Amino acid sequence: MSAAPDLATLTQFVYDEARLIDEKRFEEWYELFTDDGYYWMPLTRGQPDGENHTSLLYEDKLLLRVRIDRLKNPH
Amino acid sequence: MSYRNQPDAIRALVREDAVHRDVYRSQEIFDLEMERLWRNTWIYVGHDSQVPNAGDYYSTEIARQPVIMLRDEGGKVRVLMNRCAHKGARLVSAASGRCENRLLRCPYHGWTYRLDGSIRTIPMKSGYEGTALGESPNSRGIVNVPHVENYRGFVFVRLSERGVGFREYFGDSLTSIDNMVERSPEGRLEVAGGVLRFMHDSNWKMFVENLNDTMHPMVAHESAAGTAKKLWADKPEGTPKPMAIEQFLPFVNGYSFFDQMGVHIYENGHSYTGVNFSIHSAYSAIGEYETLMEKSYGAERARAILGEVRHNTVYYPSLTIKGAIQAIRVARPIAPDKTLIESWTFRLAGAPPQLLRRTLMYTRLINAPTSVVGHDDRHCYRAIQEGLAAEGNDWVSLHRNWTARERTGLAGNYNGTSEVSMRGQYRAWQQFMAPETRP
Repeated sequence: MSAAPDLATLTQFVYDEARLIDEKRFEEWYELFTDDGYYWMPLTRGQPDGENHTSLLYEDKLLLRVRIDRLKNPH
Repeated sequence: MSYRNQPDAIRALVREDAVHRDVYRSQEIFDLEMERLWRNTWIYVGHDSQVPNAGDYYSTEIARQPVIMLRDEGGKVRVLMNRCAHKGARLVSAASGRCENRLLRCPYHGWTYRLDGSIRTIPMKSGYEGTALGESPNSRGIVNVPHVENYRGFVFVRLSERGVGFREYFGDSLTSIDNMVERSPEGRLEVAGGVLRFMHDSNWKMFVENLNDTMHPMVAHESAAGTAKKLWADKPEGTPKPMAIEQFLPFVNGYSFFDQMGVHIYENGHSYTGVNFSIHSAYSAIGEYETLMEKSYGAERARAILGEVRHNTVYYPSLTIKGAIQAIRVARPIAPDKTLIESWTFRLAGAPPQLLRRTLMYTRLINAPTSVVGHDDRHCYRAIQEGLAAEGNDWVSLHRNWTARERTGLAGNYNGTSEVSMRGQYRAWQQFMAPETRP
C-alpha cells in the first residue's frame, strides 16, 4: 500500500483540477473521478450530507457525464 | 411614455393576444406593479413550519417591503413590518432566528416589542413626557401587516387595507395546495433541506410565464435532458432508471405529450399544467409510502390523491408549487430586470425519508442556480430582457391557441400547449394595475 500523498501534492492536485475546468478540458477532468466518486458543492456550511439536505451540486459520474456532454449540443 | 396617473395607457399595454415590451422594461411600470398588483393581491410569505415555536421568526421582502413572519405567544403566525416604530430601523437582519426573551429589540436605541408588535420598553422613557410621541404613529408599536392568511401552513399576506378576499382571489386553485398537503400520511408539510436562491437578470413575469410554458422544454432543455436521454438509450431494456434519469427524461417528451397534458385556468391569473398527467406521472413507487397513504386515507382516497400529478401551479403573482414533488418556488421582484427566485422543499410528515431525498434531487437537478435545466431557462429570460431593447416591434406575442371564446371568460381546461395561461395572467395584471378602467 502506497504512502498517503503529502500536502504539497494534494495542493497541486487541486490547482491542476481547477486549471482543467478553467481550460474546459472536461474529459480529462471527468477521468479524475473514480466510478463511485461525487462532485459535491454543499449549500451550507456543516450540512450533514448531499442527500438529506440540498446542495448546489451533488453529482455522481452519470450526472457529470450529462453536465459535460450537454455542452456538445449545438444549441 | 409616462404611466402613473394614466390608467388607459396602462390598460393599453395588454392586448387580448399580445403584450407591450414596456411591461418587462419600464421602471415606472415596475414601481406601479409593486404599489398596485403586489400590494392588492395575496402574496406568499413563508410556511408556518419555518416558525414552529413562539418567538421564532423568518424575514423576507414583500413588494420590496421588509417583513417578519413570526409565531406569537398565543401560537398564531403573524406578519409584521420589519421596521422599528422609533426611527424605522430594520429590527431583524438575519433571515431567520429566535427572538431572545420573546421580544424584538432594536439594535440602535434598544426599543423593545412584544411578539404582537406592541411596545414593551423605551429606554429613558421620561424623556418623552410632555411631548407628542404618545399621539404619534411612532407610539403604536410595530405595524402588523393588515391581512394575513395561513392556509394549511402556507402563509400569505395582502398589504392593502381593503381589497379582494383570500378565498375569492384564489378560488379552487387552492386544491393544488390541498393535494400537496394530503400527500403526507399525517396531512402536514415541513420545510426541510435548505433553500436554493437563484438570482435572475430578468423581469419576474418572464419566470411566471415560463411555468406553464410547454413549448420550450423540448427545445431549451434538449441539451441537458436530451443528453440524459441519449446516455440512457443504450442501456439494456428493463434496467431500473436512476432517480436522476427519471426526473430528466420527461423534459424532452414531445409536443403531443405536453399538449395532451392539458392546462387548467382559474380567474385572477392562477393556473396549472398537468390536468391529465404530467412529467411527474412515471416516477417509481417508493417503499411503503403507498401503504402508509392507504392506512391514513383508505385505498380509494389515497389513489385519488396520488393520481393528481399537477405540474406547476401558478399562484399569481408570487408563488408556484409542484405538489407531486413537494417543491415550491417563490418570486421576489427586485427591479424590472432583476428577480430573486427561491426554491423551497418540504418533507411529508409521516412519509419515508426517500421522498425528501427525491425532492431534494429534483430541486438540485431542475431548479438550482447550478442546474443544467435551470441554466437554459435563465439564459432565455436574459435573452428576452436584452432582446427587447431592440426597436421595430413593441409587442410580445401571446397568440398560441387564442380563440374568440376567451372574450367571454378564460376559466376552464385547454390543450397543454396553449398560451392561455399567459393571457390569463395579463388579464389579472390589467385588473389590478388599472382598476379604474374596468371594461
